[in-house]
Amino acid sequence: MTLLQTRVDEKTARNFVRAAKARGHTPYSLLQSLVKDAAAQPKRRTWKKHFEWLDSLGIKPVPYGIVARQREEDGER
Amino acid sequence: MSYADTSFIAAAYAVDVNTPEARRYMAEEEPRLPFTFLHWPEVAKALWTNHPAQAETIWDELKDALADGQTLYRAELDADTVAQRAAGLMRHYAQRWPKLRAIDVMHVGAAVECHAKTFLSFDTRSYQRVLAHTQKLKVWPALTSEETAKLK
Repeated sequence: MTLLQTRVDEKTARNFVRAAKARGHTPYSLLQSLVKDAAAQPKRRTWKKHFEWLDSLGIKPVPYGIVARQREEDGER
Repeated sequence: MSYADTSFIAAAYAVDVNTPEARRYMAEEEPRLPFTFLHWPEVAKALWTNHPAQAETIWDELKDALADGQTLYRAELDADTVAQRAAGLMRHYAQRWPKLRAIDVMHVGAAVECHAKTFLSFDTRSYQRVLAHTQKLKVWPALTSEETAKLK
């Protein structure tokens, strides 16, 4: 599988081999484990993604500021 | 750290005239905003009176966002402490600004209790943003000329 066959510098490779051994892994199995954990992480929620989702609902905008108007209509004076 | 009035959060979850401006701010700043006991009923009313067909879907998304805590988070605020701070603000400013509303002082009180530096609000026709300015909060968008006149 070519996904995990990434070339890295010598020092990084040595450190990775040492870390894998310390955790009872082979370098390949540790890398597989790290990739699997990263894929399982929940996706980061951002406002940019939120507004893309809001666009997808196709909501017709209302021509006023909703909360300012509702507070005025609530009538506290 | 920023505190957003419901007028700002509703502009991000409902779609009104302020949504494009809220979107620009959010895209640039990607703020993580506190969501308090004051926001729940106002956002609910905003959704179910203006976008009833999509309200349930948006409400679920809002609750998911709060569960994640990445864009919105539940602020650990004591309601009584916020209310007492709001009462103090009302005592100080009610005679000067008789139209100052309870909801406005509550939101400003909550922002101060959250230790916010910036107050995000589109409610320019009330005294809320002016009051926030008096509490050393940076108001965004900037005060209008009409609001600045209220400070004199």
